[in-house]
Amino acid sequence: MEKLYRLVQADGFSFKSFGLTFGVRTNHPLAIDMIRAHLPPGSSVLKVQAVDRLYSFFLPNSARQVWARPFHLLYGNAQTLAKTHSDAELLEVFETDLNLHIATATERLFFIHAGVVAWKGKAIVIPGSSYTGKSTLVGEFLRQGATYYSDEFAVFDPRGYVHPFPKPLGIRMGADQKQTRVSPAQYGCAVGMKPIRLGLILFTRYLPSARWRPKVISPGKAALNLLQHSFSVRERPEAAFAFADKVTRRTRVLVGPRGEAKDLVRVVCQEADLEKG
Amino acid sequence: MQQKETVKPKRLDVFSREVMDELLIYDERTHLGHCLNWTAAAVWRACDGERTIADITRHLQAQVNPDIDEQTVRITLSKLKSAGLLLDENIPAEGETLSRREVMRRIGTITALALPVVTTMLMPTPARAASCFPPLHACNANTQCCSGRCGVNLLCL
Repeated sequence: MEKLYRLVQADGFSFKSFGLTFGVRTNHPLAIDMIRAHLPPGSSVLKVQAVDRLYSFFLPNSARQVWARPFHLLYGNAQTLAKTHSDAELLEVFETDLNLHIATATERLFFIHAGVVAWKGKAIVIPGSSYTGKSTLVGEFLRQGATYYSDEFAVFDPRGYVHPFPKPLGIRMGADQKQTRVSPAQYGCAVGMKPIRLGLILFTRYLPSARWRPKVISPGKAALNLLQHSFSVRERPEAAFAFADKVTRRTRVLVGPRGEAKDLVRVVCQEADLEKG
Repeated sequence: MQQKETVKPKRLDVFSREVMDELLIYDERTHLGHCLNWTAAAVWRACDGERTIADITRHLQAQVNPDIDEQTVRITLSKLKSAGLLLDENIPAEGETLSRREVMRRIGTITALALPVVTTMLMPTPARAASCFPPLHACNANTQCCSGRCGVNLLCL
């Protein structure tokens, strides 16, 4: 840490997010605004004496080092998190590490890796690993008029309500399937501002030849499937299982592969409209 | 004259939680989560290390369902053993390679709904649960990779 103090001493700030406190310092004052743009939704900047985790950004001074391509460095506490030539990549690693730390460490809330939209006042949660078409499905729900809550985290409170985490969508495009940040505004949709009740959980993945013919699964199996996408099950298993039980016991859970997103979305929205009507 | 069976199955001492008529179990040693339906859960609970297989059968016939037979208990014990939920290594393998139809035929009068079912899933690490890159994807930090490891060649392991 001593070495870090010598490297990184220009500017910084501290902030609170989901009950945890973080510090950021950098050798480059102009980077502060750039870093702040990557904080989780709902973060609040405040002065604290001690933080749960400290991030240190070292950005090269291009005016002084024109003969080489020095690295951009990011540290989490004393651990090197990233060493890259790109500030965009540095910020991506920062955001990923920060979100992962929040999802794992926060005790009052439960984070599930999932896309979330609101339809007729209730949350539709779509848990899923990477490359299962989760963001594509969220995008299609938004085109049909759903409200955006997240394409990364379903954040549950102890009552079982789902809180918004509306970071930009990460849509994979092109042959290399690289993620592109897409603002929810591009879908012309509303963005969720308050916690809402859970209405439906969808476990699905895209298969080119599939048709949406889901099965209803038991609460026990639904809980186990949900925990497969939870961040804190190994750290706090009793609390995680209790949470999953509570959430799945009184919620409809559907499982099955899907073809085109619009087909699934049309069916789900129609069924939800019929229930409400 | 047949030798009296002395195997007394004993369940693992692990965290469990009832979810309606199912039982969720989490084994912290292996990070495996299990869901047992009511038949499997009843057999598992009866495995106290004191009862033989015949004792377990009689216990379940009295407490749970008079139609449960020893074959059902044996098949269930085999499934529980495969899932790593029993301590006793001497539990005989029964029905592990049988098809569902054959299991139903052997169990006899028990309805399909009462077939013992044990579902097992690996509970993830935080990195594994997050959005992450698959193996061989370009990376520059361990947290970006599903494996949790970005190799020296800047490709996810």
